[in-house]
Amino acid sequence: MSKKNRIIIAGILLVMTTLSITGCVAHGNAGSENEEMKDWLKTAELQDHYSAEELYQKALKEDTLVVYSVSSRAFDAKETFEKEYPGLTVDVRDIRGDDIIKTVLSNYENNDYSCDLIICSDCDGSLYKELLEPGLAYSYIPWDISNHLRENDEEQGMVFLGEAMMLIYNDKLFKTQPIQNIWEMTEKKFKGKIIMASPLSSFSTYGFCATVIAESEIMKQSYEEYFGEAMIIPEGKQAGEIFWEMVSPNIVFTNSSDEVMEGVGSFENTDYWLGVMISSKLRYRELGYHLTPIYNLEPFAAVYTPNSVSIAGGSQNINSAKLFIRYLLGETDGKGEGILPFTTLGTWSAREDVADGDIVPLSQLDVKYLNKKFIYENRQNIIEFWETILKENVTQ
Amino acid sequence: MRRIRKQLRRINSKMILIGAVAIMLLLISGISYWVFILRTEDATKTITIAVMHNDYVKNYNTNYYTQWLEDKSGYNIQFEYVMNGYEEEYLNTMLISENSGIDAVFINNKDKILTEDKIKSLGRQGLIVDISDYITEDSNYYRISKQYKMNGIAKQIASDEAVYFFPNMDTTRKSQNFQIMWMNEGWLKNLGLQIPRTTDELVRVLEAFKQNDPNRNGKQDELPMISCEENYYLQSYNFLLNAFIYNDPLNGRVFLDENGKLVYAFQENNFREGLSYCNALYKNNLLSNSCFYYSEKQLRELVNDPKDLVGCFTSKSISDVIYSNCPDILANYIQVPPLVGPDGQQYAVKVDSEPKIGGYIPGNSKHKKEAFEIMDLMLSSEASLVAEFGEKGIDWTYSESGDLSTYGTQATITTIQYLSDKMQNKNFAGSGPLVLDKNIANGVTWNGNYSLVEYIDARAVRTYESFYRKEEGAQNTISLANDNRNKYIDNMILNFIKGDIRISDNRQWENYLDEVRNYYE
Repeated sequence: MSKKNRIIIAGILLVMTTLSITGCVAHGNAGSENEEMKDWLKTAELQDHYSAEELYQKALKEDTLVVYSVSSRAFDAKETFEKEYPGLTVDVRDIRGDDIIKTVLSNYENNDYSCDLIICSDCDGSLYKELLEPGLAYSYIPWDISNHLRENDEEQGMVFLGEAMMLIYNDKLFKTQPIQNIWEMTEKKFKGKIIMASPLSSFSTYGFCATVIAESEIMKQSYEEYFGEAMIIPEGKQAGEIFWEMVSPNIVFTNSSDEVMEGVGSFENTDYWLGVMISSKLRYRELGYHLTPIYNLEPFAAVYTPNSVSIAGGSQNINSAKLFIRYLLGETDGKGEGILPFTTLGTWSAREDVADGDIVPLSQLDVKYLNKKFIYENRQNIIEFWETILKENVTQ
Repeated sequence: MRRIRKQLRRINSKMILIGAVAIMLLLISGISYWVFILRTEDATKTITIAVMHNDYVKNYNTNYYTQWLEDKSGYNIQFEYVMNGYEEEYLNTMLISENSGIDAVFINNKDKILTEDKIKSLGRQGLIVDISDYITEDSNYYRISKQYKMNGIAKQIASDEAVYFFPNMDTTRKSQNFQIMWMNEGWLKNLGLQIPRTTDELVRVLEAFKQNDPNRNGKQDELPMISCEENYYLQSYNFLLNAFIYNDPLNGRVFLDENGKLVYAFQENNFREGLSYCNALYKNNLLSNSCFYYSEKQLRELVNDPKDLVGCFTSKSISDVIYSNCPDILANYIQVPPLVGPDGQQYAVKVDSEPKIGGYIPGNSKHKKEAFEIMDLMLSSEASLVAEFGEKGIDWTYSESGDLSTYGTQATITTIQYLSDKMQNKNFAGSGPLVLDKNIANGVTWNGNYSLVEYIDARAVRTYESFYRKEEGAQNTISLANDNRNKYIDNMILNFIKGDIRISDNRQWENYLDEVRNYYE
């Protein structure tokens, strides 16, 4: 090959490599590094000091606000919001948490900025790692409400509602809580009597299941306390995993906390004694469901899985989104109607100046907090572990 | 000169030779061309199918399922669209035309344009093709008629009777549940009420709905409970009667008790009590009569009205009454489990999945055999997967073990993208002959959308299944469906409920019983 030809080929290769590298970068670019997103951020004014009225006037020039929400209560908020702010419309999509994150990521890949707001809990750290940290979603903390907020953790997003995954029981079948130690659930008498969503189907349940594994040390202690013998843990295993292996044959797996609520709480139920459910479903007690939470249990009864609200990067209806966040938080004084659907049994207020929905303060619960670092870093192992468990235990 | 002439002659003879060869070649190629054309035409006959426009199907002609059927059958398929609202006129004209050009019809029968009786009558006149001769033991039609309880069809095939249509059958668990009651959760919350468990509690809830302005508009415009005569499952009183006695209108309200004895529910005292209960609700405007004679479509408009007017209704699927693309309205209604009556009766009704008319061949079709082949292909397992879920690998895949279906059991199909609730170009959105294997139909994973009607229905059905009678119904014991006696009983039920005939009047009740007994003799 002549020198001239070699130079030409080298040139072509260089151009191709450059193109492919830039192509890759453009494809995998984090939101905050994306030019389009940078421009959006400049105009988004996420640190603004606008009043609700100012935001409303700006919002009137925008289109329908699109909200991806794990909570059906967003429909209630939408209804009153549209009355409170005539001329604004909200389109709520009630989607499972994991699917919200996947959809927002997929939207971004396709340059689709149709989602404005994300209401979701971060049960495996992916909300932070995949949306907030890379700049595909942003927290917006209203300037005149920020001082009232209990939590201000960057990794949580803007928490507007405290909830927990809890053990619950049917109070028509049991006058008092049927277990005192979590390992009691592994007893034979509970076979087919426990109902829980598949952790691979329900985001919050995943948080609960993963926390049991993350808290293996105290799980081991409570095992020894309950069975009165030392726990022998095979190498490579954790006490939490052994717990799930032992208890899963007793569990009827389902898709969501709604089904757990219906299964345990229905008036006619005699099948299910215990369930693992998101605490906010306790509001169905008011409709006659026989659900009572277990607040205190050895070693813990609940895993705190707060809901946060974030603005999707690139939101085209940014002022409506900000106004809706203010509304969900009950406006400046916490007395706005938007907070009401979220102050029911099984919820804990995100604001210091607004009372909890639940009758028992969070501080009095045996509650664990998500170890998101552990859960996110061990995500693949936890998923594989659960795939095996479910293969063996899902109803045929 | 001579040399020139000689050369010219040589050229001429060459030219003649070349010309002759050229003509020969042209003739050969011409004949080959026509042979090719004729052969091609024979191999790619075009089958024309009449379809209704469907909001969920982008284009039947460019549809993935159409292409799939063409590849598998070797025929070209084209569609002729029938205008919505003019189906009946179209059919009447098309069937009697000498050459309609239509080889198959997939007309959605939601508005009951073609009943089974009518199709038989048209068949007897030769306007619709009797396909029984085409149904061989290796056909898909034969296989599914053996596999499922398609009572009428299976018998017809077995006894060499005429068969006029291809089935379209829902094989899901939800299709076996007769009806579900849905209640306005927003109204319950606004008034601080609980979901009623008993018939007495229901009265209290409906009274509160009527009196306490649950939709908060300052007007007394609420309809506490609605009912509609368009369909048995929309008649909410059928649900209420099941709190008094087992009431299965699809099987003539006759059932076998635990001792195997035939019970005619419609002449029992408990049934009368149930009617009396419904009559009281009607008199007090708790069971509203304003939509008794609405069409299903009108009923849907009423329930989906943003003015939030309806307290409760019954349906088979929630999507019979609420639009599947209205998540906020779907989220506003909650299932009410079967009510407990005064004697502790509490039933849900399990019905057999009966096939609807999926497609048929008009008598004037020029391609009857080919039309049969295509529709029989549509009944194959492979085709039904495309017809239900779209393209394998793109829209769906077989589930991994451990995945959950909407019914909470081991899933068989994982949907990558759900087609049922959006416009798509992958299948015919349920039109045409279609019978999906029931293990597949009941094994579809949930897509995580809480407003997905399949998920809402599946949850309700799981609750209702606990209240099915253990004994099978009395099907086949006597001729039950659509006979005159049933029509008489249906009319009388309505008369008693509306108070046109007093249910408390013993003489009237005895007259009714006498009349009913006459039908047995």
